[in-house]
Amino acid sequence: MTENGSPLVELLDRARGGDQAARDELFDKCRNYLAIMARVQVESWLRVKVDASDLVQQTMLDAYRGLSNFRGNSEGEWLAWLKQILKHNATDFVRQYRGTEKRQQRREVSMHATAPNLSETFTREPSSGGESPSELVIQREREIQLADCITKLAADHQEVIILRSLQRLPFDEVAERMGRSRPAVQMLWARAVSKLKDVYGELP
Amino acid sequence: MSDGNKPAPDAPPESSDETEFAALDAYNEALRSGDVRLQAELRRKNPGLVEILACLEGLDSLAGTPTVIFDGADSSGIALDAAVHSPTDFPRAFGKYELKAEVGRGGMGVVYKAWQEDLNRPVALKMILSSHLASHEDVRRFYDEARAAGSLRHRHIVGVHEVGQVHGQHYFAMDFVQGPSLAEVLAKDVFPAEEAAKFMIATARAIDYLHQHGIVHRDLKPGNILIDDEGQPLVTDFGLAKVFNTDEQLTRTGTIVGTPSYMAPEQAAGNASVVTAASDVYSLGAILYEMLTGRPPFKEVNPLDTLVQVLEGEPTLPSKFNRSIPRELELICLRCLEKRAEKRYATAAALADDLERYLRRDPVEARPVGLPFRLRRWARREPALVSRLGALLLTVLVVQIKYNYDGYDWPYHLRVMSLLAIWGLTSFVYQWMLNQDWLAEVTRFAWSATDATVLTILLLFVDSPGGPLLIGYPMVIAAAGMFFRVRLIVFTTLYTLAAFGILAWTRPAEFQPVQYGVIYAVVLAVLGFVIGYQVYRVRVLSRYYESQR
Repeated sequence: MTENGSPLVELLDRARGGDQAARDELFDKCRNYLAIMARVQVESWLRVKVDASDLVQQTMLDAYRGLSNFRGNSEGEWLAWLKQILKHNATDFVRQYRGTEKRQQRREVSMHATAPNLSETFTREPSSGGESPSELVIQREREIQLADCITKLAADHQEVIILRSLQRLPFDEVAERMGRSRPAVQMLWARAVSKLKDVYGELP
Repeated sequence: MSDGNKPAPDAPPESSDETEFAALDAYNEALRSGDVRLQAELRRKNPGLVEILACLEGLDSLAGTPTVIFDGADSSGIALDAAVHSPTDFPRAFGKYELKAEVGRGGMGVVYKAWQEDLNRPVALKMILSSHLASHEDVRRFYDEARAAGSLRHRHIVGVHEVGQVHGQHYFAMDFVQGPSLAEVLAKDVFPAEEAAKFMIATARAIDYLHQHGIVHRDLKPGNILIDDEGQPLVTDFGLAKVFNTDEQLTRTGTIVGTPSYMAPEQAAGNASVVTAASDVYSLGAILYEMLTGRPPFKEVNPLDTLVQVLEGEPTLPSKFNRSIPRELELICLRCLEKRAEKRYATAAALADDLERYLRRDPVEARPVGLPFRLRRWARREPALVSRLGALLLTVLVVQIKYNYDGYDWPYHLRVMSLLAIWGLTSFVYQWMLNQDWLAEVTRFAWSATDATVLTILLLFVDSPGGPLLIGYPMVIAAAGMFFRVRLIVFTTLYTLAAFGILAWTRPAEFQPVQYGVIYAVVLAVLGFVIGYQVYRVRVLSRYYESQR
């Protein structure tokens, strides 16, 4: 069932087979992706800049421990699973940050409870027709690479890309958050994307 | 920022930076609204920015699909963002429904299993992937689909309860069917003949019901037929259904919609205006074919080849796969698969009637076709064999007439005739090998090589090999071109040149002066190159087409 034998899936299979090196490589590969996702998520909730490295650490640790619960076998499922754990931890993170424990429990999803459900969800595809799985795989790969590239940018470039392109905020709000004028933020964004293109183009 | 293709910060900074920003921003908006046409236009207008635009696309997919906006009674600041959404955030509230799980994705929608709170029942919710990403045309198609389906109730059709939107997210609610789909069942095993017939009767009746209400399904395939607990079919996904009297608006672009393997030829040709109930009858036949044989009538590795087969090819007879398939059922199946719509069953009901006749052991309406038609079908099914046999037959005829007229010596005539007969026999063997999937690739090479070899032997026999029979070599190369494989053409050309070389070397007297032979060889090489190049171009187009899907 491994689709297209993509490198990440291969790594995943080896990691689940108990290959320690593959495990490390797998998590290494996804670290930057998680870091960017964590920032996007937490900052969009809290509307301020925060240091999300603890959250990333916690998420990696949980995923590392819970690897045997992961039942999917595609990149999409893997990233979705990581994001789910991230989200679970992010709620806690935000709660702590706010110092409130009143948040209601309903949105919390146990990782263990959902794991089997997850595979069931993905193995059945009754109404699917002609979508090409390889296209999706390429897209996932690109997402991971792009996240890598974003972390290599200068801090203000990172921030403007996260706010504008990933959180999809209007420029006025981006300007307000970054404490700059709107035209300045627009130029900054254009430069940041251009720079991102350069970094992305330099990938092997 | 001083590197790359951007101008130095000081030179003409503002203006060019601003135009670049404007282009990027416009593209970003186009990505978000899902306006594919605008995206393509912007890409065309800004050829220098192609890489950056690709980067924006990547960022957009990284940001994720901003789908469902949650009911946020408690969302004091937690605006659940696009990035939070993943296919696994279940359960979650959506209007009066609670989403339980994602069960599938189709061309334009995601299907969720959900619980309807007020009526306490499970439903399937079909949503457009994202209201932001869907163009107006998608939305209209979605509502057309829902409205068309909403008025219908039938034992073998998945009923639609409601259409609506929550926070700009369009959806409709249908009966929830656990499945599996016919496609999943067929992945495991074929159906026994009688069960296939019964299943197809129910399906055809359901389709006939749709037709009577002015709806052509247009995308019938095993994936769109669900199977309930009693093993009965439930037709779903009228995603491409078109109401007869409000047509034209949606299909003007002439894009091919549907799955090539189950598509009627008129549909595959992109001729939307002639897609009628008869096209659904064709699809039903294609599904019946797969239920009996385990494979659709036409399925090639790439979609272009499949399309060509749908338009021009003839399906392998079902009984070739499985001898136990009854003749009547095969006839019924083939009648549905007729290329010309008017030769198929006039209605889905007529198909169901004929299937019932088969079950009752009454004579079926589908008749075997006459000899000329059978010959034509054979030619479409096995063109390589039929074209060779045709050419050989003609040669035999000419040789025989000449013999009767001139009165050659008998042994010579016998030699030529038996060689031609052997050639004909090898063609049958090769055609058989070509039909075996695992031999097909080698067979094409072997066949071309054999043609060239036998031709050379023949030429060595005859008195004057320098005569008109030399036309045989270019024909061997041209025949190899029919298989659409560049490597095969290169191989055949080289092989033919070598064969001709041997011939010229053995009978030098025939090729005087020398330059005649050289010119002939050069022409062979040029011919091979031209045919090979044409095939190469067709292949490139085919890959392009495939990448566009």
